[in-house]
Amino acid sequence: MRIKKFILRLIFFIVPILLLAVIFELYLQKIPNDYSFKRNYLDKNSNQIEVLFLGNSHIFYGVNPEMLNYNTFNASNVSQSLNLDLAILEKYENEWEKLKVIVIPIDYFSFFLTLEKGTEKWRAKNYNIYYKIPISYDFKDYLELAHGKTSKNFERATKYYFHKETNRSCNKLGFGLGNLSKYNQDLIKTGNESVRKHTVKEIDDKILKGNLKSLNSIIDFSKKHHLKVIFVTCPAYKTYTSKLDTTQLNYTVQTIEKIAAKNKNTFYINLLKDTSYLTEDFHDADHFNEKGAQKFTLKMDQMIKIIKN
Amino acid sequence: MLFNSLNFAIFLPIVFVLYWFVANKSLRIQNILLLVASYFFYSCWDWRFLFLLIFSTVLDFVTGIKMESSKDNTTKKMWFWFSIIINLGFLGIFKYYNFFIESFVQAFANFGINVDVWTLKIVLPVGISFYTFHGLSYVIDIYKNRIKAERNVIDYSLFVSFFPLLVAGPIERATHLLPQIISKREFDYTKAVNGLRQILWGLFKKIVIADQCAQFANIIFNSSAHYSGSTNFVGALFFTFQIYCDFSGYSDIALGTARLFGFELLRNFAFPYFSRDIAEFWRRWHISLSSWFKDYLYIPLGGSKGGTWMKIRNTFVIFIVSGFWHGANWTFMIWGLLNALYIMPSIIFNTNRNYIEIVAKGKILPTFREFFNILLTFLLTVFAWIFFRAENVTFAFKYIASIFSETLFIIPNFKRKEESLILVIFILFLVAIEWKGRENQYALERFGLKWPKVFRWLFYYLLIISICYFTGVEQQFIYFQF
Repeated sequence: MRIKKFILRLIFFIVPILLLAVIFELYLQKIPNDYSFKRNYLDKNSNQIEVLFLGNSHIFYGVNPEMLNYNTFNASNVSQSLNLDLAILEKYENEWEKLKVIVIPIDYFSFFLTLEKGTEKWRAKNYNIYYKIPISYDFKDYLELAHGKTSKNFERATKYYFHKETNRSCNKLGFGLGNLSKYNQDLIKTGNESVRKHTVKEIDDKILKGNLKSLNSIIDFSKKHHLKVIFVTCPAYKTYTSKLDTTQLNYTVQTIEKIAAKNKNTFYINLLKDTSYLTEDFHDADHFNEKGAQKFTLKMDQMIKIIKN
Repeated sequence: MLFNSLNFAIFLPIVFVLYWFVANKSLRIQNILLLVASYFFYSCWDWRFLFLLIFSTVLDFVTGIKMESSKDNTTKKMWFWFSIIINLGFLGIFKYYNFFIESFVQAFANFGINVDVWTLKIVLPVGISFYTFHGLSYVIDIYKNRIKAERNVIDYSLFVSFFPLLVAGPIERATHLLPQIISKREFDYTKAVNGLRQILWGLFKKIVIADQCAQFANIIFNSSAHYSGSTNFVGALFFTFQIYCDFSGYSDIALGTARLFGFELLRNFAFPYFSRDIAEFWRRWHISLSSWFKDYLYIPLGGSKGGTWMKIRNTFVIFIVSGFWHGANWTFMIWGLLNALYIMPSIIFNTNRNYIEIVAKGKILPTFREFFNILLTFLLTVFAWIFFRAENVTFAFKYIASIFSETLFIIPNFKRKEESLILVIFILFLVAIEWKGRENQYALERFGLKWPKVFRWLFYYLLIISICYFTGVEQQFIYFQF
């Protein structure tokens, strides 16, 4: 009986805290962010999109669809790996009525990392909660409160509910606005950091096979829906490109070249060491600033026009 | 699985309910349940090391029985040394192998000789120092005929692996914990509430104080060369509170959790920063380890029976070994050595047992002399902690040198300094509560018990809100690495 009393009192004590936590969680999940924005956009407009950009931060900060004169949307996000690109395509499978071209980055790390296994694993919650794409079975990946500091979450909530500041950092067509500053970061330091982050010490066979499987599924999807696919290796600054592991890089480039050559609806363009991108185009060693994004968007525009015709 | 994780917040109630509602009919089933839960808890870090834990457990269990049933002293001794060598061998390989190899290579390199010896890519199994010491004390106690060998493998395994103490202690003794394991346990309401209160205080210390102190200590220690002496001193102060709240917070959670299951574990901390000299500090800091070294090293070496020189020698031995126990780094040895030097005056002048009772017992405030002694002892520990925190000895000396420079007297300045002011308020709150509760087992044990329930609950809610507010990325406990 004493234990029942203990448990009842404990529940009575804890319920207000749990209620507060649940309410806070619900309010947090209502704060608009890039993921909820992109999902809402695709829910409403996927049937109008002609060109879809997918992929990671290189595209997120690199392609501004507002500069293009056809219906384009940038559905990329930071560290969005190939399995997530595929999941987004499949989620709206019956709604891509006008879609003609998909652009997907195949970068130095694309075959070797996935969002769920890397240092950016914490972002998995965004797909579970906002995209409603279940990519993780960990219950914590369905909760905002289980990620980051509560104090930061509290700050976010205060900013939104009292000052109407959201967490959205992209424009209305999905282009990331975070790198607009004219001042670039230390290109040597960021080059070293990014290379360290993107180079795998030991190849994880499971991840590699999974990524190749996702890539092939994307190609199958594109064939089924008569789409053209452009694979692009995005430009980066020399402090990044000069330090890449050649084995990892060669494997990536050779694999995607072979795949592109084998499938008639796919095209590959390698801009990694494109010398037309100068120091002033980069925010950091592997991301564009606004100027670089303009140049890159126009380059992609040329490609798309050629392929579309 | 960390005590400060959401996973543990789910794991603990499940085990608690199963323990008191499903397994309550039989002590055997309760012990099996706790053992399974403990192994699950441990395997959440790395299931492969579970085999090492089980091997170590079985080894000591079998050794105990073999020693007890030995008909002659030689066989008994053989089994004893067999277990000691294997236990210390594992500890040596996993914890110290690379350290010795690297030190050996470095020593030769100093004479211009390049020695090419291969090091191993070793991952330190979490809690190895703690469970090895559990096993060692058990084997030594049987060898010395202090206890009988345990014949039930489940009960013995639970003694070694009970999840609240498995990864960072307290280092239990068979004489204390085994009798509790083999006795029927009844649910005790007061004990359970007390346990919850201790868990709450432990979480407060860990999340609100230790983890926040860690941020500022890291900022300062990581760029100490760019900071003034005063800032580096503040960094050392932050680390002093970090290490205390981290480890004593862990111990509070461990003791509180054990209470929920009807166990009383050994007390590990007794308000060490209120000590009036270093001898008192060491009777109040990491008590289960200090007493382990006293019983199994200091006393067998002759303790204080052989005169002053033997006392001095033995004190140095236990402090250096204690430093080495913490990790394979010269910094820990110097930390141990420094503490041995600190304690020397009281050993030589036989004043090491001057302060047995807690300071200012029954009074509100200490006398001026007591306050001065507390402050001096505290400052001595602050300097010793610099070695504990430093990556290497050179860094520690540079850090101390920067403190004792003319920049000691300028206003401290570091990144996010303003944010640290909130932390300082929380630290003052901690010190006040700890001072108020210093005559109890832990600060919150009797705090507010005479208040009306509504105020007491409000106080607990405030603690919980501050814990929730500062919670975030789960920070590992410092002592898990030992």
